[in-house]
Amino acid sequence: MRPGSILRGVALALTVMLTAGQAGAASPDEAAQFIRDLGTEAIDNLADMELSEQEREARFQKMLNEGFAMKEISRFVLGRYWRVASPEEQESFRKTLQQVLADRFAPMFTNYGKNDFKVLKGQDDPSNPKLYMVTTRIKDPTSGNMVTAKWRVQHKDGDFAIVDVKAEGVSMAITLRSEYNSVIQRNDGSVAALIDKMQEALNRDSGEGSDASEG
Amino acid sequence: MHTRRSTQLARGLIAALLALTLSACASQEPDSADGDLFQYQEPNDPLEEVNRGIFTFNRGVDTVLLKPAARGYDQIPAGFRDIIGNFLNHISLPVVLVNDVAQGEWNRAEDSFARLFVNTFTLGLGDMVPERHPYHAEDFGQTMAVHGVDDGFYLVLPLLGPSTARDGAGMVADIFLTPWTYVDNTTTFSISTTALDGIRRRHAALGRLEELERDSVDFYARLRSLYYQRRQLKIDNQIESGPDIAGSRSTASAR
Repeated sequence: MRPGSILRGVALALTVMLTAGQAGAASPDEAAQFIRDLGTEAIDNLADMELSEQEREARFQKMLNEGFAMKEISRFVLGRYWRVASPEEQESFRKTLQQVLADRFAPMFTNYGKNDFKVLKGQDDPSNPKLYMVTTRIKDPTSGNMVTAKWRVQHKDGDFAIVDVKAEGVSMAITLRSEYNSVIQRNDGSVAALIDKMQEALNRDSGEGSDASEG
Repeated sequence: MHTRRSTQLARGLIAALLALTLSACASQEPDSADGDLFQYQEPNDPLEEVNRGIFTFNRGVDTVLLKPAARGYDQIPAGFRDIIGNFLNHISLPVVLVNDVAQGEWNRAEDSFARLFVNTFTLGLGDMVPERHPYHAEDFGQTMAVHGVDDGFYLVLPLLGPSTARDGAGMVADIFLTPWTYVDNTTTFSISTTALDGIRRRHAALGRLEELERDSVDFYARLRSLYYQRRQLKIDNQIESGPDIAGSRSTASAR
């Protein structure tokens, strides 16, 4: 092959790579706008105090599907057990995890106002070049204080999706992975046992919730 | 008396060195490439069964003693709670100051020195120091971490809660850095203030600990993870070591 054609080949490859990079690229500001839009949508959809708990969770589940990378989160949280789980168990785990997240996060937005969710900045994720990190201040529903929450966001196939949230420095994904892996290990590597326990916790929680509302 | 104190100090240092050696042997490995991307490390918990037993015991103590005491503490007017908090912060400052210096944190050492000097005029009950010198906590476990000592394995200590080999050794070292360790007849004072600080920390976690347990499937593992994550933030000075959920020494807990 002549040197000229090698150079043309390299130039062509570089052009393709650069073009592909630009097509897939997004900016930290766009990631921040994605979180801002999602927060506004959450407040608009979930803050209404007249909503029933079921309706609030159903709306939040829809947002989870749209705004969270549920498959990636599920795969990360299960860790090495994702590979040993059957496709049915993987799907069942994903759905149950979605319920757990809805159960935990949906009530947070009750009675939220516009000032209770502020996007401060978007930046490249310092610990992972494939992700963006968006810093927000949100109201802690337990204490009523404003706390820092950092959203780790991926940009894939032209869409943003949340892969993790760090509230006051504590990662949701890491905490869940540690806890769920512990349960699986203590149940002889059974992912089904974990799903059962997650379901039990959900039932227990909704039972306590209805007890409290009856009381 | 001098000989007895020297012996105590020597024993403490030997315990600290032993724990340091153990922790250096027991480093944590990243789980996988996936885990590495998310900065995930498997918990190093070779004493898990024993730790779980102590965790259960601590939870019993929490239910019977600590939580009711924290609720009682909540009934004290906020102004008096501030005075108690000022005093407890103040008496911790000699240890904090030594650890600031040992970490080469000169600005933080200046904050601690200013607070120690000025607030001594109020016997530690008031806070006359400008906001530009905020209180912060430091301990010898953090100092060792700053100097590259690995946290070793996970430990749940009776009554004191989550810790690690390194941080447990740090607690022993901090006892020897506390001035009144070397003053006669101060045992009651030390125990009382430690207990009061435990109640204050549990008070700060009221509601939040229960909220954490609400949807948990393994509360021990959840608190262990929270302890490790919060501890690293404290070592990096990204959050202060004041009363909080997972760092609460006297809560039942702990990757």
